[in-house]
Amino acid sequence: MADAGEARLDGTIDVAALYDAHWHAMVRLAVLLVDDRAEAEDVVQDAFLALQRRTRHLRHAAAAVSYLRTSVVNGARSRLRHRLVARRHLTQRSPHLAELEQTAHGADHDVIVAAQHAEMIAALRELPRRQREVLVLRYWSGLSEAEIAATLGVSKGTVKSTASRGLDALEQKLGDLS
Amino acid sequence: MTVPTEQHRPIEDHLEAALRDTAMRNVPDDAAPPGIREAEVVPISSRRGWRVAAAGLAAAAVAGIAFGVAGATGGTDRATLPATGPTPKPVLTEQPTSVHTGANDRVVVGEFCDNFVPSGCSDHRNAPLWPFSSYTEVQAWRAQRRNETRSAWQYDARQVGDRYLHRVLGLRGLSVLSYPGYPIHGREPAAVMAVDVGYRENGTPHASGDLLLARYGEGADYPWEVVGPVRSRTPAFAITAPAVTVNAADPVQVSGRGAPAGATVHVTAITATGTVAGRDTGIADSSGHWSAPLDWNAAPGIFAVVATSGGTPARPAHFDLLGLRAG
Repeated sequence: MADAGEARLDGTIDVAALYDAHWHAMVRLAVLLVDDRAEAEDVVQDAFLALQRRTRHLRHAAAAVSYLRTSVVNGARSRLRHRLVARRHLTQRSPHLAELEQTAHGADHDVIVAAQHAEMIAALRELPRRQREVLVLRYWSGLSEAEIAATLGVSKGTVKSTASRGLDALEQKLGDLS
Repeated sequence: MTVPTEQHRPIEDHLEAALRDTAMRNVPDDAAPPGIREAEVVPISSRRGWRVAAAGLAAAAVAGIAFGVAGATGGTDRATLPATGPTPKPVLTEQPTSVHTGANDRVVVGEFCDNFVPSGCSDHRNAPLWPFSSYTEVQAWRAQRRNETRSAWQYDARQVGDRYLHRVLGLRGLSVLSYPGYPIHGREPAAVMAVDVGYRENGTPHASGDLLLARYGEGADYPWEVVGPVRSRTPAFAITAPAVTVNAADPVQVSGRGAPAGATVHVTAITATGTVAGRDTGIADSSGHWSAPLDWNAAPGIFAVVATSGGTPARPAHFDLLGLRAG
């Protein structure tokens, strides 16, 4: 169905339709990889610009979306590589979190969940780049092993082992914090 | 889907929830893509047109991405280059009567829905459920937006579907899973969209049901409307009675099929504002059929009857819905 909406009658890719349909998803993917909304938007803009240059080489919208996704991952990777000042990530568990967990009711529960999510994202940021990419593509974008492999240019076996190691590392980090 | 290890690990749920929370918080549904400007009646093919030409790529790279605004808005803060998209179609101003879902499918909205069941309607299962209750309301909304420059979520079928699930039906664990693009029939002025809705478990998508969305009006400048489930499909779990009717009985016997034997089916009447107007439960028999007497109390207008089974209240394993009208 996606092809019908994003390809013109002459068979070329309709980038405007792709932009409408996928801008939010691509920026969200980029945010999870670079941790910054403005940078994420820049990455996505660059990806769409690159796509515009390549539309004649892409035969259908699904290929265009894959191309976009790969561009976003590569763009995010480049941003991180060139970031001059590394972020110092939150690695310590909030001293109040354990206490809150014991006493929370109602709205407090939301606060705890938010804090737990922040811990998870902080732990994710500390993973090796490849592990983080695989986990984001797997658990946010919902891609299959094959799709992740194609996006990152690695084998399915590498995807599987990288995901497993990433989850192990997250468990380790979060376990250490608790 | 990828299965990193043979057994599900709790950290997968935690990670998925954290990613979703972070992504949605940073880029909420109503975040507008940069550079897009909404014109009142400019066809979407030019209103949202991508305006990059080969000669302008260098300038576009400096400026970010290049979008143009055609016609009435008189320019853009980005580089505007010759259009590469299809020729804009003329805007239709007549009252809408119908839109097409495919060669043999037909969904009627607009004037039909205002009158609800006019003669000649081939599918009585579709009703203007949300966010608009009538074509008149749509026109008023469009008039109100005449000078708006910001994109509206009502033009995004995914957002309309998600908001309906979350804010009206209270099914916050479900979301639009499949999104066929925008729109499914290229850039025809009239369009409908069938989407699967559900959730992901261990990364694997699970469709709980589906929604049919249609433009409430004839043209790409009209907003999307939830008009019911996808009746051209035959899902296992479905409401089979009553049929859409002008004046729903009170109580109304709601029946269906496809629930696991012995499963509880929750039947709820929900107004367009998300108010629960009645609820009851039924138990599926050995063949999966179920029935529940729904005593409802809704103000005149269209309301939804939602049937759910399995899962959790916010994330049911199965759901179906039906539009009824309180006379």
